[in-house]
Amino acid sequence: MKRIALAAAAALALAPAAATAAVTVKGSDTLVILAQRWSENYMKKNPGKKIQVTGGGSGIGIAALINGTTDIADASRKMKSSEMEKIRDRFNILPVETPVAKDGVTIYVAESNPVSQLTIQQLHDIYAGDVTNWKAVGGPNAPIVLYSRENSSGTYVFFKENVLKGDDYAASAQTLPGTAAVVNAVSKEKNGIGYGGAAYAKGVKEIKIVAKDGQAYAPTADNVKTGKYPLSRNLFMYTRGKPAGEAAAFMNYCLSPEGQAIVTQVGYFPVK
Amino acid sequence: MSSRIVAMFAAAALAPAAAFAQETQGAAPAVDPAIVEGKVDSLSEQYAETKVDVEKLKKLSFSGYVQGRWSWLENATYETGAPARDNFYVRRARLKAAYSGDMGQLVIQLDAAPDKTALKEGYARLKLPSGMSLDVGLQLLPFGYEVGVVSSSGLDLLERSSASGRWLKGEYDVGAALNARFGAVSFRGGLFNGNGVDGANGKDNDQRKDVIGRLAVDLGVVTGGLSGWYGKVIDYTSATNKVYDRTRYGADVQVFLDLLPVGGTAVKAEYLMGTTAIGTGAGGGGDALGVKGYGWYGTLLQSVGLHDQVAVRYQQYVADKDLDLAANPTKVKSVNEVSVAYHHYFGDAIKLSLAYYHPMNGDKGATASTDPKADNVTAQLQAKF
Repeated sequence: MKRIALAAAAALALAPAAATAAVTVKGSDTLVILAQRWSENYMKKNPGKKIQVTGGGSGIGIAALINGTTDIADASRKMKSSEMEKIRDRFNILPVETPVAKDGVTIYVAESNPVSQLTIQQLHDIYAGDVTNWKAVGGPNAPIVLYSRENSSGTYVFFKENVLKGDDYAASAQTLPGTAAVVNAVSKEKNGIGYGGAAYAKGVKEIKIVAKDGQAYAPTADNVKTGKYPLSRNLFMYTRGKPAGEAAAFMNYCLSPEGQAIVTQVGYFPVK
Repeated sequence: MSSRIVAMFAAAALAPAAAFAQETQGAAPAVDPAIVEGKVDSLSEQYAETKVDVEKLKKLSFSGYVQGRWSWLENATYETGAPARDNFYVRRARLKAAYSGDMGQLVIQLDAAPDKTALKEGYARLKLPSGMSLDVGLQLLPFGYEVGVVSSSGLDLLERSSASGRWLKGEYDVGAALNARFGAVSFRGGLFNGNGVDGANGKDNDQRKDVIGRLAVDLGVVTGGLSGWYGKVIDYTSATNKVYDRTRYGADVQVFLDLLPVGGTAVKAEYLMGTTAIGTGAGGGGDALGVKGYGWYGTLLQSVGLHDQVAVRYQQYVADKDLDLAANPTKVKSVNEVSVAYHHYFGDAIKLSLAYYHPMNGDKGATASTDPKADNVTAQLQAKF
């Protein structure tokens, strides 16, 4: 009887481990293309290993890390202290932050838009709804059409903190479910403006941002690496405690020279 | 989400047009762009209105939890009244609503039990500059870790330590408290009635207010706090209306370690000393007026994988440190207890817990028993949202 009970207990204990053999990576839509590329290459090099990558936004990934449904959370923003506390309370461990790539949050406008640079204050006024016509920032006499991300997006939070300085987005801003959707919308709307990761800027014009030194900087590799581009940021992977096992092996690959070369291929900037 | 709703609306609106276009494929264009544009404009307008409504609703949030329990108490006697913690019972059934506005917040929390429904929290919050806020009303006592920080739904051993149960009875009190955070340091404290939500129905019997507060530090791996409480109690039952001190001092520390491959490890400890317990009746007579005591605990917590956790606690509780055992040979001065709990999480909302408590008499009078015969086994299923 005791043996049966022990066997049943062992089976119960091992069943979840078998079911979660694949490493799950969830979160930032900014990072999702890069994470998928990493995962494809890693699985090619390591047959039998399985990495499952899904997007949804940084907030979704961090929530999954808190409730234990993902091994790695991708995030395009830093974890909030309240989120760290939730992980600590639930798992008796602190989350560990690993920067895996650099990005410059890029401001997109239609290719036909003559505006080529903006200050952070102008961007603030545009997205807060205080400036509603391109004429006010050196453009044509036309209404500005705002595109934004959903509030589960790390880019949404980063933009709100660093451009809007905590103020609310204008009610007229149309929220779209991914950076690709923002780029697509801006490319088709001549009066549109949107923001997102540098890797997505295809078929749209990138706006230079005026830094504190008065110079306007484009989101190039050098400007992002040196931090001259005012909207430079790190992209992160978060784990519950130190990365371990298969998750650690995958993250080591992402940070390896090969993994960091993929960062450049996708359109972001390496951290190493 | 909102964009998906718009996409659905747009798809629904455009579907008939698309179907019609398919039927008339090859014929002249049947869809007037002006009509489609009008429909899209109409949907955009509806979407904008919906967005405003949803923004309002997002300010209102609900949370709560239910704890269904079965307990077995050693040596339980029913002849003198049913023990409070034996057999099946509902420990907590809480529902909390919060509405956040631009300048403040209102919070109401109800605790429903088979015999009564009581208000546990009911306060108004005014947001102040620099991230500070002022809470006025019935709120959590800003004292200690077990009471001031940890929710009843997150207790490592299902119940707080005996010292918290005595000197922070009821856990809530009516007053006004300031909340502030400066980097890793935070403060919560203010003026309270001092009787707790259970004492004198939460009302004070005199003009003397108690000053209660906790200064905390959060360094990530290590957190902790120092708590203080200074107040007075008037004994109206005495002819002289004698005034007694109602004071508490507390210190707590929590350490979170990433040591073992199976999961995180936490060590928590708290010390609390107090004078005069919280009154249990109206009139301010209070409980154990002027009596001094103390208590402490140390807890070791180990997560095992993603779904399991084990906790072990040792605590000591001295209700009256000046008790003369020579004069009271049948009495017990200190009670020590070792307890162990196992928790299993089903997803993020359901938790099954099993706990065992073994109290032992420490310092005692010559004729008092070593074993208080009060072991307890508790099983609990908690649902939280």
